[in-house]
Amino acid sequence: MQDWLRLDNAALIFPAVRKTGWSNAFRVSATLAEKIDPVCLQQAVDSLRERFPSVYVCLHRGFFWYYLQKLKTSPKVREDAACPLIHMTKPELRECCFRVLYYKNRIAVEFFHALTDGNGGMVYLKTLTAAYLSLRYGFKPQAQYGVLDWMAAPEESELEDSFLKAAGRIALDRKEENSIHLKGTRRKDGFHYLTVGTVSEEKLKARAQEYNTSVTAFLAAVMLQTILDLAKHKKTRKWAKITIPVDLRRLFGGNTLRNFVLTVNVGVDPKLGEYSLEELCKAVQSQMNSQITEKQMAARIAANVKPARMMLVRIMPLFIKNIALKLVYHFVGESKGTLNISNLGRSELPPEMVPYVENLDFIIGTQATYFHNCSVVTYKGKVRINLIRNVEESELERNFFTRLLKMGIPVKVESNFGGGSLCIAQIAEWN
Amino acid sequence: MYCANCGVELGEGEKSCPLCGLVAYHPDMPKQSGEGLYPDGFAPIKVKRGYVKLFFSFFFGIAAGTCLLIDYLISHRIGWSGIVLMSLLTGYVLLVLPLWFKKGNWIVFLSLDTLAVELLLLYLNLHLGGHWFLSYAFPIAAMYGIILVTVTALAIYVRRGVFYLMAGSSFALAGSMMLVEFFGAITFERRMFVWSLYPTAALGALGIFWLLAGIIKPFGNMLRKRMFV
Repeated sequence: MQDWLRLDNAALIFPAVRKTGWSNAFRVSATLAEKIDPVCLQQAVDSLRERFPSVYVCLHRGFFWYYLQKLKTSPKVREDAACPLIHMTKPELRECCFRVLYYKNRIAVEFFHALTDGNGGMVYLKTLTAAYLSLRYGFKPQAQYGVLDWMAAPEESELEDSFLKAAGRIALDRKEENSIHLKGTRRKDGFHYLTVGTVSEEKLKARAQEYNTSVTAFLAAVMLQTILDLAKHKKTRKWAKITIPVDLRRLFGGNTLRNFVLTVNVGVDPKLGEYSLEELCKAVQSQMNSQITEKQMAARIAANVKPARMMLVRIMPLFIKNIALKLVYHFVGESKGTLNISNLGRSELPPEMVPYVENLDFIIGTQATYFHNCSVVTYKGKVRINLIRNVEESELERNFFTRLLKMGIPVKVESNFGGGSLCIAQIAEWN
Repeated sequence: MYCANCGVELGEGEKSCPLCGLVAYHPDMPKQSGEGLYPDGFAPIKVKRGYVKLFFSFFFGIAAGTCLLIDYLISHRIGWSGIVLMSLLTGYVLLVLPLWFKKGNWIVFLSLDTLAVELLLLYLNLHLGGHWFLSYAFPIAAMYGIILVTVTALAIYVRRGVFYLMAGSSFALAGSMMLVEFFGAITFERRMFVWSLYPTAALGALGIFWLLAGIIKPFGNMLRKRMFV
């Protein structure tokens, strides 16, 4: 087996668009019932190296493309920092593209997005947690609900670039309206404010059903209403849009552990007047329904895959490709969405593991040009909504969570800053 | 505990509401004593940008060396490549030199930039056999260097009075226009004050506008609100 991997089609963009102070990363974490033993965790990390060859890699630069070099040793587990998703620098990525962190009862894994997507990351986390529990308590959980048998050899299909298989023959036009970007006082030291809202799955689902939408569409509609509310004083001609990543495994099948996700943008035009939540729910759900179909997705994948297959592009030196990809990312990617809502859906674990794992979390980092993002995961009947930002102002979080509260969905909030970043004068201003 | 302001339930580790900042306190309830979601003490990652200045230094060095070599091989003397070398040196002082200093002083950099431009002009004058440096290029470059350094120093060290600073800059630029034409007239024996009156008048009017904005507070506040926020 060769000791390096090509980047998958979606991953091509991430090394190219990373900046000196920003890289595209996400984090998955599991909170256990007991304090983490770092020695045991290190053993678990070591034991998974052969099973996840596409994860235990570092990023290297070729003349024409970036590539992933397999690691000879596992990364060292580290204690967690004061904020999630601290910038992954170029030297760090050259050594390893993921971090395993622990803090009290929590195991967290932060991935550079070129390795895998949220679902692949969750599979790794679940298997790592299973390996940890197995070392700690001497039982081996069954390989189900995303937990892999870490003693088995990796399957070829887990390492494949599924985009190449799923691409259709016709490429879809990428033309779209630009979207509003929320402003704020940016933190320049790289600190991310994380606000975690925990809501009941049952209550959230019930509300979503009242509006005939899925949970993702409902949250997107509430978020759109929040954005429109925050941006109502702006004389903008841009749309308010939410970027929703879609797990393509559900549409095309497959069990790849690499990136296999594509985003769709849903939104409304503020110029047309004010929108009620019902209108927003209808708009979001209908846009999702029309965009998330096998045919549409295959055509959109084709639009991404085709340029990478062109001979002229392939023989272009990497530094030129990087400039082109940066422009594409800026004008076709980030300018088309106000923020992401990435919902991993309901996560389950093998029954033996359930008593030991209290929470699962999924956090996506902020984007290069917009400063808020939202990620959601459901486990044990609790929906954890992680809102991350790298600006001082917390209006978006406050507006969003209090909106849910007013709809009769109780919210419990936690943060990584203890609420200390805001001053009382700000509250007076809001009231 | 719940936030009295937002109504959300607060996690055990929250000393104040993450959404509105209200301190979590109730006289009849124990203080929030849970541990935080993340450890305290944030240490920002230090990013090394050394490669940028090295890259540009290398680029400038290669460009200068190549030009000198080609010129010498063709004409066995340093002719046009001297101009290229001096231009590259000036460009290097202007663009790359500040990158070598973590906390550089802009006043020092701008003074050096002025000096570099003066040297380039002196070289051009000597190389082309002109007689315009002392009476034309030197005073004009020095004048704009002084204006730039003074405005920068005032902007850095005197935080207040932005309108007065802009008024002063406008008046200085207005005056400089006439001086440019004056130096041109005595060096190249042209008619005096043909074109400079127009930009002088426009910049003078702009200076008066900023001055009024500084003196009349409501007008200044309105401008701040409309233009700077």
